[in-house]
Amino acid sequence: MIIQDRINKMLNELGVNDVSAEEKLELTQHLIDHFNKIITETLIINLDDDQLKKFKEYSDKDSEADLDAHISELAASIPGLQFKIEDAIQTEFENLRSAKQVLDK
Amino acid sequence: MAKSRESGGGDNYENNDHQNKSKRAVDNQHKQNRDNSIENYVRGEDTTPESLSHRQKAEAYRTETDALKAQIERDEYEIKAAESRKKTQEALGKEEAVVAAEAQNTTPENLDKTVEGKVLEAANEALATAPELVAKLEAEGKITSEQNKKMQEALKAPDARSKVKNFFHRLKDSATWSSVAGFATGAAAKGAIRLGVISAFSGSLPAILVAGAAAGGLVEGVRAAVRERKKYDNSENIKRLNEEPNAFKKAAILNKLQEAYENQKLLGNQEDLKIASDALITAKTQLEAFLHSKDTKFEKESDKDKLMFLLKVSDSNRKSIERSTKREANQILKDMDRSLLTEKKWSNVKGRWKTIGIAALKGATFGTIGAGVGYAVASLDFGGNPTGALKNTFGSSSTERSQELIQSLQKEGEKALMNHNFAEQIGAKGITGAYRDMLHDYVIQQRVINPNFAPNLNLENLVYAEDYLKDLALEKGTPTGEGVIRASGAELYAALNKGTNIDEKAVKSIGKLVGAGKHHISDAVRSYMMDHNVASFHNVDNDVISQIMADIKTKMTVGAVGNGQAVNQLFSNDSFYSDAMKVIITNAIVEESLMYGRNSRNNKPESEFKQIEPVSEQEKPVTNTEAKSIPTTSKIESSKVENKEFEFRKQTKAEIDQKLKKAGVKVNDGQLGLVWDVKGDLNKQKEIALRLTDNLIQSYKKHVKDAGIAPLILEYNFNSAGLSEVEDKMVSDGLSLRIPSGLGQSDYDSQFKKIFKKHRNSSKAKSKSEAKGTEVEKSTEAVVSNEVKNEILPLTKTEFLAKYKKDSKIKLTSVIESPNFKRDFGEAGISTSEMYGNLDELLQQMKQQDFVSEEEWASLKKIKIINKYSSDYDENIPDVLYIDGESMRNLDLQDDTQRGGLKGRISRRIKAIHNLKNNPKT
Repeated sequence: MIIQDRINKMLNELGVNDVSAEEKLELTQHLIDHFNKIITETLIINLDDDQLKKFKEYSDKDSEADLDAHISELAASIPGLQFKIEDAIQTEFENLRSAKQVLDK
Repeated sequence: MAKSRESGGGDNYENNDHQNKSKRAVDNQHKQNRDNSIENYVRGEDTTPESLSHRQKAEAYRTETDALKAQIERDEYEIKAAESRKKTQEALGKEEAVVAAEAQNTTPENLDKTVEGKVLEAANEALATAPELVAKLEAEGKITSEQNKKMQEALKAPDARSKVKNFFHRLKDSATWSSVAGFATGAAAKGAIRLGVISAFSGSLPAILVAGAAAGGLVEGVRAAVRERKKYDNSENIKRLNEEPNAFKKAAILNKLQEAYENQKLLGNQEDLKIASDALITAKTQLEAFLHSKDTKFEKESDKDKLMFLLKVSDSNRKSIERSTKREANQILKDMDRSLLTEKKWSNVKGRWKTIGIAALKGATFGTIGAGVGYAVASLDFGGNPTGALKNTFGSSSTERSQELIQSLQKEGEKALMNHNFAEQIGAKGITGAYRDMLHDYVIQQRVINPNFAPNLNLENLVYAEDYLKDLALEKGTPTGEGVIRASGAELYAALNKGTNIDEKAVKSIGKLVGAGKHHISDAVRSYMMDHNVASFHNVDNDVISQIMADIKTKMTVGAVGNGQAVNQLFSNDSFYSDAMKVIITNAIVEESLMYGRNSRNNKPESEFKQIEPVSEQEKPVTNTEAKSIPTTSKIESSKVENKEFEFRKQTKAEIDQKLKKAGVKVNDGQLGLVWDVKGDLNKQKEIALRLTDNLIQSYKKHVKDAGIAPLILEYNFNSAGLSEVEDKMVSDGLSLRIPSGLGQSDYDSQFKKIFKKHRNSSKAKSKSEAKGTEVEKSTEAVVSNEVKNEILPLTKTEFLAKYKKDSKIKLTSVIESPNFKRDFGEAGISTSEMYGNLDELLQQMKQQDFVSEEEWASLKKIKIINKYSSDYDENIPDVLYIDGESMRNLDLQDDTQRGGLKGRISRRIKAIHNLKNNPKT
């Protein structure tokens, strides 16, 4: 998976080398979950009041397929969201990297 | 195993798991019933089926059976849900799986090709969607038919595809971009692309920014724009934090970041709050990592343990630090955290949040595609200048200009508010009540300059803040009774900051406290405290920002954008600023008068006053010297005239007062005014003043005393051009009448009219004003009977507002015969005719904005004050002001230095409005 490839690169940059394949898989899953939350959070904090209502409705009531379509549409209507998500991911990645360096000292 | 369960791949496991669970549940239920029976038997409360009646037994079994049936139904539902999830996951993962397989079995070069192919696919989809949307823009009136035509042509142009593709190429290497590759087809994608294109054409500034910057290849520029409002350097703080070896100093840096975060929470700008919270999260994570690293227990931790630790710490910090300025958004984020934390295996909450995250990423990316298509259309359509084209199409230049001005307003307003010293009378409301009013006005003004200020402010926050301020005041020894409390804007800000950062427990506690008992806050007070509309502004002396807003308005209307386009552009889409503009026009420029001081004609540039009120031939002094300002007694005393001259005038004044007293004319205050402006011989000046005094006494005896009401002469002002004009001038400009307290209010109108009628008939101005005066009387009576007496006077203020507030045409017009008013206006440089016009406008605005208190309103509507008998009477001014005798007395008695009074408020506003009208800039 392409995102997974991206996570692999992240793990390398975080200096996480001394791990088994199984551990790496587990960490990858944790990182995906972690960044998924950050992406979701970035979406939510950029919604206006009306969009927040819609979001709540979609997340509470939609089927899985509808949920995907509705949230995609919501996100597409927010100008510049992609850059904001990138920025959030990058900021958090830098946070983890510098904290890891502190731990490695 | 865990992974396959989450993705829905382990359905057998899940099915077996749920069946086992169901069986266990039934067994447990039996066991529980048995245990309960034993316990009840031991307690002597034998409720086993054997000990109950048949009916009770049946009931007990039915209950147990129902419980078991419900459990089975739940389990069956979960099994079905698990199957459904599996199918959905398969469907959703199909495309992703294809791309993943391609990615795993390909070289990096081929992977790039795959991505590029998908990108092109998305671009094609977007280009195919655009024509229909452009046509819709025309239908909605956002673009002209000509523009539509050009755009359609542009979309079909041979190089459109390559333009869009180039745009996408610039984005290809971004972190999130690659995610689009797996999702760029399908119905959902099409819908998202459509919305993306729409967003590019929505005309909003961020959309244009994205499209414009992307069009110029300035993806970095967009990122920079996102961070444009950054107030402090995040990385610099983090660097300092990391380099600082001392844990305490690290904590101090953290504390500063915490303060910055709390400030941003109050100020309510989402982007700034995000930056501040990012910094705080990072700092906390760093600090915890540092402390963790000092613990020798963890020296041998693996990389996996360290990363897991950091993820946990970061996650925990995110949960504790609010990220949004919106309460609802924070609540959703909390729900997300809570549901993920307490997730049970069968609930699939985690799966739904995963779906949401992926969908958000997809949608965001498609939104960018839309911007790319927008770029292609705009750039081709308008001669290769996309930014200019967008501006031409959507008028963004005006918007940008307006944005600049708003930022200026915010910056200047925040500064002015912080530096302002707020003051409030304590009075009967007590210290807490006074701070309540102060905070109320402060929050209103903060929200005028920044609509997002303290977005989640609630009653409990305010109660905490006012209580905090009260405690501070008591610590300083502020008396609790009569007096004035003061606080700077910065102190109010700090109090609100503390108030808005109390935790949920404190909010509940305060809520309970003020809900009942001796600290109970009534619904009316609650409503007042939470009403932060401009109309509920309390104390005009605490008005800080009106002038700033007026300046902004001036810049908008006469600035580079010209013809008010920016104002319209800005305010048509924003109800808040639309309201704010009303404030500018209405309440506004109180600062204008504050700037120059009350009655401070001498403080203001002379040229402006001359321009406003040219001196008439009549009013020119005896000599040919130019008309100058009318100094008051106090001003004379404080002027730099030589002591000798000053003493001479003082003696003359004493002689005049003595003369008046001897004649039975009671004098409260007198001004010799222009008499002293006659340059030259002091003795000559004295001679004129004494002759004027004689005329005043004569006039008093003839016109006032004869009226039988024995009024007091409170003030005189000898400002006539010559003796022949003295009598007229004394009555119109120089004579203040105070009605004796024994006179009933109902008699006031007729008595007042009598005085001036007598005067009119006997004065030298008779020939000039008699005919006009007759007309005035008629028109005045007409206004009184038809408009006021029947329709307005019977109404309470509430009723009046309900009836007339929406009708801007209502005319409760005004004419004033209050010498004090006139003097104020004169010194403000407002001619009589202008005064009437402005006063009319002013009263309208005061009513519409609810600036007049209930008591003041009651006064204002009851009485007419007529001033139609002055020598400069203008028949084109038919206005009448209604005010009662009590108010009249109060107005005249009111200390000029008290700004809070109605008189001061009116005169300052008139002065300000007049100034605005006559200022060449506007």
